[in-house]
Amino acid sequence: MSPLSSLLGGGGFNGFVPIGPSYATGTATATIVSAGANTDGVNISCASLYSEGYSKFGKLQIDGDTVLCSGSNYVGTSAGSTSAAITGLFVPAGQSISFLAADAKTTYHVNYEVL
Amino acid sequence: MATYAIVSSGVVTGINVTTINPGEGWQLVPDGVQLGWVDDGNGGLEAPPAPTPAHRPLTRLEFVRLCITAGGMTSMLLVQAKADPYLEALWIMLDFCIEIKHDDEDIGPGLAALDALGYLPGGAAAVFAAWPTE
Repeated sequence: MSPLSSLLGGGGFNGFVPIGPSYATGTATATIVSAGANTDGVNISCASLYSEGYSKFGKLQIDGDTVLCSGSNYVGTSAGSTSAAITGLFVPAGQSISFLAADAKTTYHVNYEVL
Repeated sequence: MATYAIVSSGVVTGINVTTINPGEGWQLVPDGVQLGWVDDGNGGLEAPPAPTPAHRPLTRLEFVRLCITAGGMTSMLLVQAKADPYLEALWIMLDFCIEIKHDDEDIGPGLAALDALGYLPGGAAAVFAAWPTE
């Protein structure tokens, strides 16, 4: 069986997930890597979302599928801020990486490596 | 490595530093551009202007001291102003205040009245100009 770190992406000889040299950050909906630009796959080293209190959701999506979400689908259900993070995610060639923001109260940060 | 940005309504809402053109909506920008930078009106981007410091609410004592230091109100003028029947409403309002705000709707007319009646030799504008900030 392969080490979990290798399955998650990055992996490598020592089994760690390297920090990708590329990064993106923002507060509004954006396609960080389009499907067309992803010709050989992308490793997401780490990604985080932070939503202020009373904000709606922020989502990280791979080819339209949500893999990470902060905030709430319903504004005002929680006064507190929320955050989410993920590491070591491999995105196959031809798939897009997007951030979806319901309002401007969510910030995303993604470190990635274009293979 | 190149820096790309998404600019929405003249404000940078996304930064992407990468080896590839990330896709539609991103524009190539100079290195160093950051989130929140704004359109400079000449096709470029610049850091937003520093926010104007907010005026600090004052206690009644601080307000009177400001009238003295910035407005030129002497002790004698203060005593006279306190006894002036035209200013009675102002002092009543100040008695009700827990704190005095720069933009309070009664403070402008109140200082103007002090100024017009000769109790602020330095002028009401000088008091506003010297109002402490956060």
